[in-house]
Amino acid sequence: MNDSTQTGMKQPIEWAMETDVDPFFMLANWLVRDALEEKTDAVTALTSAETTLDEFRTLKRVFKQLRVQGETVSDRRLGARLYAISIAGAFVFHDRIITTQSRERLIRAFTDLRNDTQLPGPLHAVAERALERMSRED
Amino acid sequence: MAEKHTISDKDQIQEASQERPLDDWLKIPEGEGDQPANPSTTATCWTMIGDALNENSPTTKGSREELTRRYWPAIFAFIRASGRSVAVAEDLTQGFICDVFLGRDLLSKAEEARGRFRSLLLSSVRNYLADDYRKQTTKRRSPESGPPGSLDAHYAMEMADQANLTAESAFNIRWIDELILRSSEETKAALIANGQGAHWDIFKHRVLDPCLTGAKPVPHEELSAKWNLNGLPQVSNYLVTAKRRFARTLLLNVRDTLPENQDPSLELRELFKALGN
Repeated sequence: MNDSTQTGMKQPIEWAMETDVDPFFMLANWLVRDALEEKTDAVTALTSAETTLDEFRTLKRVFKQLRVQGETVSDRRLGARLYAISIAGAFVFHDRIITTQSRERLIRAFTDLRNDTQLPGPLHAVAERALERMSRED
Repeated sequence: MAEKHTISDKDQIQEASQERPLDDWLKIPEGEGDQPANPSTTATCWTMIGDALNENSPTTKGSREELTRRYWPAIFAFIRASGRSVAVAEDLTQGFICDVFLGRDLLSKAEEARGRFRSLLLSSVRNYLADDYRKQTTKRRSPESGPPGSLDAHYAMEMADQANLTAESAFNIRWIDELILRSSEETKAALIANGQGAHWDIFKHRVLDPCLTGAKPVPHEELSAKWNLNGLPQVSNYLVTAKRRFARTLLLNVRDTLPENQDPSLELRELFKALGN
């Protein structure tokens, strides 16, 4: 067994630690790490201006899939919220609407997200900024 | 919506397949099961020890064999890393297994104490080697070796400590290796039994093998084509389902070596540290 194998063995231990500490958001972080090589966690990816428009589109598709095929109710709820946040992020950071959903539906969804206590603060902020931007464009 | 906001064809196609509007998407019905599939319930470390001690149990032999199979590599690694040759280390491992590990002594202590099984096993092997060393040196001890506390003796003790650290490290690495491999096998069996062979295959080829063997992760597109999936989103979702199952199985297997109700975070941190920087 060499040093690189030992280093590789750390990762499964880390996964078990993450499962123990933050099972709710862990799944989102893992999805982001698999889908976008450069990103390490969901909150950073969804709240950063450095996330490209294509990356937001990828995140939207990945979280939509989680909404549809998530193993548990919590997974599907998380998928639904992060799907909507991906749309909000693309709008806030790239000024693009990456969905065919109507404006009214987007406003309702972003309002729900802003008030969702389960989501980390920075994600609320993205929803808030998306709402502000939409109101400025009225 | 303002004209400057463009919607790509790709997005339109995806959205067209959507059945519900966005605000409804956020309202997921209650009442459905909210736990991911539980890891398989193979015999735990403690139930297996209890069974190995119960001579009336029809599965005693099997439990003893399984315990030996699990822990032989870590015991051997410790003894080998303490400076013994392969042949001597094999003999000592066999001796420890027969005399201490299966000789009721260790297993009885383990069941009584219900402490961390890894620590108990490690200290037992260390004591066994110390006894063996004493037996070997009693025969050839001579006055020329110097009194206790001399510079030579101090140096020899430091060397012994150093060797012990290396041996402990070898033991821990083998211990972790066994935990990971066993958790992999259990996860694979559970997923396949659940009709989720694709989940396992994707997890193995994108994550597990790259971690453990340094293999290059198989691209999303290749796995998507292989399993007839709808591209990266589905591949990634299959992957995390299997990864969570594996992580929960590993966590459960770590918990099984700890006293009841003990938080596994300390043990996990120690295992992580044991793998070095």
